Amino acid sequence: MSIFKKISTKKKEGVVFFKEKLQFFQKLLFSNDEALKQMGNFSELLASGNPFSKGQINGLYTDILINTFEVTEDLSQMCGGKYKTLSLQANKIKDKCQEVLAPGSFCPTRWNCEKPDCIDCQEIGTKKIDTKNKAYSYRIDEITIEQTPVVGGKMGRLCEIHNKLLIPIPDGFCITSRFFEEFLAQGELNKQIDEAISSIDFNDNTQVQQVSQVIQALIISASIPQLIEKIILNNYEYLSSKHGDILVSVRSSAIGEDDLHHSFAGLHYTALNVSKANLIDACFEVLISKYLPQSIVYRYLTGLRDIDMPMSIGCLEMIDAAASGVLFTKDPIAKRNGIIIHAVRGLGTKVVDGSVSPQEYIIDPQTFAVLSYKKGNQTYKTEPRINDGLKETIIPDYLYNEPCLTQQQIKTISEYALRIEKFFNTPQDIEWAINQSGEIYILQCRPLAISPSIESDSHRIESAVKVKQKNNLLIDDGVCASSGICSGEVFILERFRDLINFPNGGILVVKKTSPELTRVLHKASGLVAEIGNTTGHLSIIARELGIPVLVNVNNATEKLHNGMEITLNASENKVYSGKIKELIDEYNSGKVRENSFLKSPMHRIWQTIAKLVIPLNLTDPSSSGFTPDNCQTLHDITRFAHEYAMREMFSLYESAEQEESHAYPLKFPVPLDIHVIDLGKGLKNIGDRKFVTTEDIVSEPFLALIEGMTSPGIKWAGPLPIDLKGFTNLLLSNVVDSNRSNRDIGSRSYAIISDCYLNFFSRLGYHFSRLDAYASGELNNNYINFNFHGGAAVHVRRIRRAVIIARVLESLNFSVVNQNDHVLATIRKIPKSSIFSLLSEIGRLMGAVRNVDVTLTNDENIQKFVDAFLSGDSAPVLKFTENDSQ
Amino acid sequence: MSRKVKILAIDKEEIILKSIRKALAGNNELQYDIITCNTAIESLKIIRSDTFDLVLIDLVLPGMNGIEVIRRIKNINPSLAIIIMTGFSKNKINSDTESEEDPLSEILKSAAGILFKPFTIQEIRNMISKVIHN
Repeated sequence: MSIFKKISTKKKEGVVFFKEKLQFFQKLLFSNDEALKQMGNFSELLASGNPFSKGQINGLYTDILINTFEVTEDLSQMCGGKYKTLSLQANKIKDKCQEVLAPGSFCPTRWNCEKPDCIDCQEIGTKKIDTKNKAYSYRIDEITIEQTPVVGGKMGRLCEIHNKLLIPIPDGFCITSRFFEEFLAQGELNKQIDEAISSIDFNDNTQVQQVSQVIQALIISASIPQLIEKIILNNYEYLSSKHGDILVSVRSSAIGEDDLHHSFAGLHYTALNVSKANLIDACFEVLISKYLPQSIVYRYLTGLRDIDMPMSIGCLEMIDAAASGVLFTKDPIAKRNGIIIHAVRGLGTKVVDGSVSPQEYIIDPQTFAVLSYKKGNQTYKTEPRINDGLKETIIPDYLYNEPCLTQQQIKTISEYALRIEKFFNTPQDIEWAINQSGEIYILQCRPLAISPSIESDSHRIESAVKVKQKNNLLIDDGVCASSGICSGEVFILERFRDLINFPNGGILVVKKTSPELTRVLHKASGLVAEIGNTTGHLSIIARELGIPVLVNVNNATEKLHNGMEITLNASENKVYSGKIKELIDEYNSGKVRENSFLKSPMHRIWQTIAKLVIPLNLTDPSSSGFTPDNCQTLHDITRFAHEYAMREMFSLYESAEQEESHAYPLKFPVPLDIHVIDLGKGLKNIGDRKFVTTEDIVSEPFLALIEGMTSPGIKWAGPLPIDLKGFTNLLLSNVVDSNRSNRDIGSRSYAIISDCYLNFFSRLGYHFSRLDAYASGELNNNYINFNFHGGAAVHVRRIRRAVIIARVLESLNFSVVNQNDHVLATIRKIPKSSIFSLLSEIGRLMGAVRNVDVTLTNDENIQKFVDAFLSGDSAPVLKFTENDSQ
Repeated sequence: MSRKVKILAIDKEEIILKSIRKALAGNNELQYDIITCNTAIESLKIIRSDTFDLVLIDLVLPGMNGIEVIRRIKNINPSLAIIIMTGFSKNKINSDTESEEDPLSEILKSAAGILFKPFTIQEIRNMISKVIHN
């Protein structure tokens, strides 16, 4: 039976039902507090700019949702089933959020887009592309860049340059994302993976490792449908019908990979020289590489969602390379002019994994003349084996000093690169290979991110800051792979396994670079490597993340020692002992580094959710627009519920009054219009009287509050020119805000009391304060909750007042949450006597902060006010006013 | 022997890998180039990227069981010698090898040798030396 019916049928038991309502009301208040608290945490996490995991933010969001729905349910219970539209509206908002969170709601190929529903993005993004209608595979001559959402950026671009620019690439085919999405959907593998990744605490290195292994096992133990095997093998048959029993390279081409700011360089697996017998295994090993620790961490750092990045795979004819390497059409750290080519004999794996110093050619982009040449240190090369896999062979001495590229080859590769750059209209990072017959193939092309040129800046910083004598120059060689200055504790890596011990803010020192080091880059300030190169995968990733990297440093692991503090100026190839604070400060002050996470899909998706959760649109309870239908956010829902819950309590009191029940105006020296509702043993018997005085009050918590409110010195009637009607509403309100002075603001404060309970709440214009206290002999049941909320708009003075309230309550040992003009203070499990003295202090505080927002004109006075109050001054404001006027 | 013997050791326990490195470091007779790793996927990546003379592998690995890893290693390089390291008892292994259809028995028969954990440094040396000379 609804409460509404109960009330109408059992009129005489009004106070009993009042108690029942009070229970729902208290539940509602509790859920409302929780929702607001988590909304604060949610906003803070977004505003921090720090990476967050799905699990982290989704946990807060879920908490907000649950508490918001609790609030609507409690309101409905309180009001006999009324306000059902409110929970409908809450559901609508939730549905909108779910839409935003759905896979493909953001296009991973267009990062600059501001809107999640932008038509441009939909054209190329995943939203409009119905992958269900796409094929499981395409041959390279069928692929255009428009198919990027199913073939991935790597294959999309590679096939585009082949089909539009007629640049040679190896023959092959692509297994589309539909293929793997369907594979992972069976047995809800994708959900299990999502849950596993969401559970990771990224501060704990071991967790990423463990989750990665769990996911690997999940995928490996899943059975591969025959259809999938058939499709892969049919495609291979097609290739072998043209080229014979060839071997292939199996490359990742995840959706969203190889983007300008998200290269995933070297993080996903490439299996080279795979035979037909191993093709299916290799495809699944590439799929699994999406869940290697370094890939998981990289997505976390760059704010990419796993669900937006299904894997697709390119299978290309294996090129038995005489020479291969990487070409950058521009210098990624904007230090040198010209095309940069890094080349090795044999396959290019040693260039991209950074394990050898390759030959380096700097090429004039007009004449293709070699502007500079470095011979590198390659002593052995990687070659395909006849049957499968690779082998390493020693390079004969006579070739050791010979360039592995001819002038003609340099010219052809550079010409291809410049055509590709022109076609995509952005600098390019290109992988190429030359086969044993001298034919040149492009294996991969992706946009190249150019670091802002801070070279001259870092030099200026070094000159400006006179590096102290005591800071010895430890290293003065190497090559800058990612610019910047940092300091931190040295961590010399001997084995990958030790990465789990890598300290926060440490500088990683390694023998050679490897993309696997990505798994600790979120904790690293910088990196120093004995072997590595600027075109290697790790260097690319470090530049994306803005982490300074110095490579090719001789004996770095011997010159530096574990635990020593150093300052690394990667831009100037220097390492100093100790922390040179001046250098770091100067660098940080001039640093205009964009926080790429703020632009990431993860951040933007949750920012969009935040717009459906956080803003408060229902600010004026007296307006006709204050309705459930007008709730646009979850905050609006809680605001509405809170408002109407209070009204329900008021209206009950009014009906109770009509029934000659228990609600009485309180006559006492403080000019506040307080009405007292007794739930039992809170008042003496007052006979027929229509009002009560402090003499009638028995409720100990209420008496304690009154004691504070009537402390000597409090100026409830102040010198400020305030009309009488407004004056009764002074408690915690902004009296001189001209926008509000004419508003019909709530005129009463309510004290709902029992012998051991007090619920004192005031609704004053935009402001709320609520005090909820229980004081009994049972210590564990005792508590005080104090909630002050200052309204919708940000206003510096209101924030000052909130800060004062927060600081005072903190000094009184409350646990306090203060966000903007919202203060939430709680203290629990303290003796009854302590509850009373704290209630008295709160009463005094209410009086003392009455006009602070009017008179406290600067931040400096905040602490003075707090100190004065805590030392017993109940009207510090007057003092400041006097001081100011002096 | 002029060329170094290339060995890949795969075990989730760092202590085992450490003892293998230790066992092979002090041997003057042969020059070893030892690469170690802890997970199945990592080991397959390494196997594909280079040619080894010998693989030492545990049967229980994170991500994929050792039998499956050995199957894949054999697919990539059928002639590669494999030494299995196992915590299973000799009796269990012997009884398993008697049942013909067991995949474990297939793998065990194709292995160049089996090391039962815990093993001594001398046992590792002897086993590796035996396999290499064969």
